[in-house]
Amino acid sequence: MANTAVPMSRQNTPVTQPPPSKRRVTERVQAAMMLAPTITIVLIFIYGFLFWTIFLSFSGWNDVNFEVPFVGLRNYLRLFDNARFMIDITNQLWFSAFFLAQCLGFGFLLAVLLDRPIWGEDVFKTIYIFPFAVSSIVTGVIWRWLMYPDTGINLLFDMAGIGFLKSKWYAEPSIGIIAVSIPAAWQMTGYTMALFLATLRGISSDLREAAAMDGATGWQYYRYVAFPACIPTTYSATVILGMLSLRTYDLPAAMTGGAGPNYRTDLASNFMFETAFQQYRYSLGAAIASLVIVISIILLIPYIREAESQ
Amino acid sequence: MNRSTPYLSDAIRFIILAFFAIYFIMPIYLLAITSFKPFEDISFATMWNLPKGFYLDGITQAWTYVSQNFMNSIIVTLPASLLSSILGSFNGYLFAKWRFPGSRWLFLMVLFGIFLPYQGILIPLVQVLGALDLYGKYAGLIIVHIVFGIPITTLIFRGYYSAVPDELVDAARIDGAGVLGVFRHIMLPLAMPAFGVSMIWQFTSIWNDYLIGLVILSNPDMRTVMVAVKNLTGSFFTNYGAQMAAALIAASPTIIIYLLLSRLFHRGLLAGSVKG
Repeated sequence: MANTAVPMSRQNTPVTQPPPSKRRVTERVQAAMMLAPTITIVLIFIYGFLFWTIFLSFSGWNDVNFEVPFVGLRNYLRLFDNARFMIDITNQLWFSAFFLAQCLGFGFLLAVLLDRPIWGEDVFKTIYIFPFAVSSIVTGVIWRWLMYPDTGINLLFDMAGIGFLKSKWYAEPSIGIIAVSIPAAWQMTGYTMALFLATLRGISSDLREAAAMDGATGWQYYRYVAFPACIPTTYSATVILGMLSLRTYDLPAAMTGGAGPNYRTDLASNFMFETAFQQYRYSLGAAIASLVIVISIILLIPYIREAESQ
Repeated sequence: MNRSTPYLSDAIRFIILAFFAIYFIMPIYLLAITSFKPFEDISFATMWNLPKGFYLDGITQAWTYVSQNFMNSIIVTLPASLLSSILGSFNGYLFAKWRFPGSRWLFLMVLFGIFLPYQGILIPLVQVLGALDLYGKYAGLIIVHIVFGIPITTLIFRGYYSAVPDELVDAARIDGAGVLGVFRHIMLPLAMPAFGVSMIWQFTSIWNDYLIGLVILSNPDMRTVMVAVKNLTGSFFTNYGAQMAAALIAASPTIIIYLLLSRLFHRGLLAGSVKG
């Protein structure tokens, strides 16, 4: 597979080009050697560290035991025996589901609404993407007070006469983590919209005109041309947002301090951080991290494979 | 108006878009009005009232909390963004124009780094930085941001260089330029817009980082601004006005960059999702 990639970039060059010469080979070797140092470091820091984390998860290493003895699956058994970790898994599922639903749903809606030119579209786009430039900590601080039970959104609801919609948001154990997904989606919806909009605008005008010639109404154009074109985008957006939701750590930390009431805003990332860096139980922390790694790889393999085939 | 595709009237579209615009701007609006209120006007009941005037008390007080941390973040963010962009420009060029056996797989492996779940590397990271005597130092954090920035900067530059015609490269080779010569004389001069995109992207993500800075810089005097802002939320002596003002200070560099350079920002946004 790798050797088919070599001639690909050269296929379209004119025939006047000299045949692969000694010089060309030398140049390729030079290029590979120049690439080597930084790429080696990146690969060690990424893959080396990921494997080291997985290795540690099978050991009994902590701050008093530097021997790193092999303990098999003990850390994993402890985790699955741990009530907090079970809450974290449930929280993660709810969080990812609501986060993805908001980003994809609103992002797609906004992209479709912005597809055809409209007065003020640049202003709208700037506003929607704006939260992406705002850090998760700042977002968390703002929403901590927006969702504070005594004020913020609840106060707005009261002022609008729809006080029955009031909620304790992140302080309400039954929906705590879903409340946290709202600011998370606030940050990433504009980004998702940009992905969909790039796809919609990328549909050639020929195709649009052809659809119009065939008498397609606006709705039919979207139903039979635009929506199918967005399926691959939906897939990559799901992977990107899913990965982001797995590594969410800052936002609950800024909103509720991390764990929240009865661990209702606790995610595995927070549990992992406390275990490894506050309790110094490195191996147990590594076991949590390893599970996240495995899930990430499962999510990413089809994505990378698709990228590879293009 | 194009008769063929009216699926909703422009007025209805505009109303829905404006509704979402209000939703997205509301938290920033709250951040701004709260930050410019005098302390005595900070109360839960009057959260949504406009400030009576333009008061800088809150900002001034918050600045005394976070000014040192703000500087610390600059010390880390600027060199890390610049160096990761320079390395990315070089790697992107080599991946785009000098494919060798295995380079595609190597590139895909680097690509994976963009999605890296940070939890997965933190424990070895702390160990290795400790062994290299870089733990707790700015240099350590800068190096980490550079290394984890290389995947995205490489991707941004590779996409940019791929659009440069191979004929330009071949012409320069006929004139005797080698791998480095082509980079210096052909590619680098063309790459300035990509540097803009890459620098903005890196500045934003490094400035906004919380977790890596928290783990690597344990000394309170060296904390980054995001760590300082987060710590303010846990303290009881500050009211929400001071927290908001500190948050506004911490957010201002990336907000200003976004508003001034939104076009470049937008391009970086899409680069992260392109297919390899």
